[in-house]
Amino acid sequence: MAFERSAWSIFIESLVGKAGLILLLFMVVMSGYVLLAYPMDYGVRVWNNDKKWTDLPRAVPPEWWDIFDPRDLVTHRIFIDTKYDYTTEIFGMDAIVYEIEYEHTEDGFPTGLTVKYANLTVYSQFGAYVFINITRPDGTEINLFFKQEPVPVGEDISFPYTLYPEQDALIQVNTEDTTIFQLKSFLFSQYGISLNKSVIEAIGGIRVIFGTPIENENQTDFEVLKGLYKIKVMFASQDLIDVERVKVIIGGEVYGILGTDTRRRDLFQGLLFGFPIALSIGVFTSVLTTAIGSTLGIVSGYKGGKVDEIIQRVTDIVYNFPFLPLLIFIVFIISRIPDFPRLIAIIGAIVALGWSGLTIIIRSMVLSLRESMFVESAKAIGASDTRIMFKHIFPNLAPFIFAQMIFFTPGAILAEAALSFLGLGDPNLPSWGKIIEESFRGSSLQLGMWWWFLPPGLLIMLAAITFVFIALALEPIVNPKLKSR
Amino acid sequence: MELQLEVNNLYLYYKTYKGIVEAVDGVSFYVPKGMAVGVVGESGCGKSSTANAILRVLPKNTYKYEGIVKLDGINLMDLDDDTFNREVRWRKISMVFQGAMNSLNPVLKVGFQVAEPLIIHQGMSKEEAYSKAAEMFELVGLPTQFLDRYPHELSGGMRQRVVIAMAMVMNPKLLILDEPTSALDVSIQAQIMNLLKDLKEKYKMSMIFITHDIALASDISDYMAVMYAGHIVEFGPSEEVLLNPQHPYSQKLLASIPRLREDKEPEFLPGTPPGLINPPRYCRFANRCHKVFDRCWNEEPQYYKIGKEHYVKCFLHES
Repeated sequence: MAFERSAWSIFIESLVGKAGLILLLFMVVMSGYVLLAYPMDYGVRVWNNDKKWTDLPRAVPPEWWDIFDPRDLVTHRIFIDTKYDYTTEIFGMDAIVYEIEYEHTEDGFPTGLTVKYANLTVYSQFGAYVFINITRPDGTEINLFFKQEPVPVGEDISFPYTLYPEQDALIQVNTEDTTIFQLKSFLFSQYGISLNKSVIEAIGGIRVIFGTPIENENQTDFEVLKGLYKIKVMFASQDLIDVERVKVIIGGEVYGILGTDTRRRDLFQGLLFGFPIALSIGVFTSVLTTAIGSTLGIVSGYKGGKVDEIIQRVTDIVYNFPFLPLLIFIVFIISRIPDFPRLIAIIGAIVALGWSGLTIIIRSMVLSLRESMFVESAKAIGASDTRIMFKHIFPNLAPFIFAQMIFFTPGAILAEAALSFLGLGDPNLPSWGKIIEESFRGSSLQLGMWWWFLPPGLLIMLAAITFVFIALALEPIVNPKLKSR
Repeated sequence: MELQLEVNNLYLYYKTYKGIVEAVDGVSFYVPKGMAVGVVGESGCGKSSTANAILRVLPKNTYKYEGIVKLDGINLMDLDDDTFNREVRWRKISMVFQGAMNSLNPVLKVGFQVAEPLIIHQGMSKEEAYSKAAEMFELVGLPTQFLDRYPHELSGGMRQRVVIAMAMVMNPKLLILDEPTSALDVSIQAQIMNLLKDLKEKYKMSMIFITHDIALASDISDYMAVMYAGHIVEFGPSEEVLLNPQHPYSQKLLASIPRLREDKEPEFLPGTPPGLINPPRYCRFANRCHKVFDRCWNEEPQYYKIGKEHYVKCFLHES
């Protein structure tokens, strides 16, 4: 008891011990949060499902990058409205209005204006109309877009009917022909500028919407108009109309805490999901490895004779395998088996190749322990071999084995990262190694997309350092105890 | 007189890469009920091996293990290992090992170690076994809160008491004590000896008391066996052996004890005992014996009965 207390205090009083424990706690909390908040099939259902990510910008750095970038980068904004703000009347029809206020403060232009809506329920047999208006800070209003929703035809149509039940309707407002036409007439009526459609398309509809024209060497250019924009999305019909959700997306150049990749995925989410993966690989692999390694070591050392000979020769063979090449080979072979969970294959392969070192060390320790008086006395009271090995000898080795287990953990995490980087990781799970692999394949380094490969790399390092710190703090506790025996 | 244990021609040889070690070579003696037999002899003469042979704690390199070990008239050598383990070991014969300091596992609580034989042999639940262990602690004079301590938290004397409690936990008929006090200082030795004498009185326990300290052995033993190079050279009631030793070795051994009140120089034995690998086929003491004669160099002596219960392995007493 006294020993346990003092060991704990030695551990917690050392700087590395504290740091390691805090980092471990951090990893555990993150993993716990992910396991509670994310669905278990997150990888398949969300991460690798491109439909889930259409709201996000493609390959943009994180929001805080704005501080370091000389340009004033526009933040990506997503507005979601599930309840209409007021009703109005358009062309004699009743209309529900979703109004969104957007304050534009940056020097740059947004990269796009997208409107999405889901589950449009129409009660009128004459169909429904969608109008999109924008009121700009200078008081001008542009009727950006309108369209008639298709009325289903056929005899078995019943009213009301619902449009876009599965996938949202998507209007890329700034590139729609209707919008360009509207912008053309807006420019003429407001500023007396006459530009034809292709010129506006070349300039970019978005610059017209969010800017004011300036004359620049016989060429019309646009300057960003800062201030409060009101974007109205209106649904009009002869009868009742209902919309479940309206999204207005102001395309930006920075997004989220850690940016997005080329498939528009939020890297923060992926990296967050990497915590339980890394932790479980580390923990399962090290626990299994030490369990197998120490069991074989104890049996080999205690039983001696033929058993010892067989275990030691097998250990010698496994010990002398080249670790990484064989690991790649084994995982590659197992990955040919359809539907075999890759994560289990990786853990299994690391365990299969990793136990041998511990077996050799434990055997040598057992060789001396088995000669000790207390083992003889245990034999004399009639304890079975199994009982002596695991009730009497094992507790003597437990601190050492425990330290070895923690020492082995970073190796397992790094091995998984290495395999994932080589494309042998679980394709359905966003592990950190897998994200680095994708960033590598996406040429992130050449394109300067540092936010894609740097954070996962740092996290792998962090995970490894966590366990190295703990192991370092354990060393002074475990080693003198071994020496004193 | 009822015999608790009767050992007849017990052999225990070990096989090593140097040759066969004849550690116990035809040993015969007996332990009457409720009596203690002291086994004395110098280091390496086979005292501990004899004890191990009786309790059948055999190392892997055992080469020859035979003879008759009768407990209450039943030959234990006829039992197979399983039966022996189940019915004899610790239930009927238990042992206190040499160097109690080391015979306790440093990382297990002493309470568990005392209770373990009950868990193994009687399949007792942990709680029952612990309460029995607590009784044993009281018996050997240890506070019961020590059950939850680790061996390193106890003094040498306390540890020795723990080991005795462990040996007593299943109320054996025969207790083998292998140098139970060798690592203790004299005052603690005295305490332990008093404890053992109490146990012997109280439970009519038979004991085999192995030691190299003749004074200590005489304190508790009713019978005395003198061992030399794998043989018991003299066996008999303590008074006879101690006051009237008949084997030359016993005589020299007793003469080597310094005496406080007698004006007598302690004697010594010249030479060393023979190695137990390929020992001489004649009397093993011949090379050091002060009464050696021709016959001693040619054949091995038998046991010769010289008193009612006094046996000597020496040609001087043939007739």
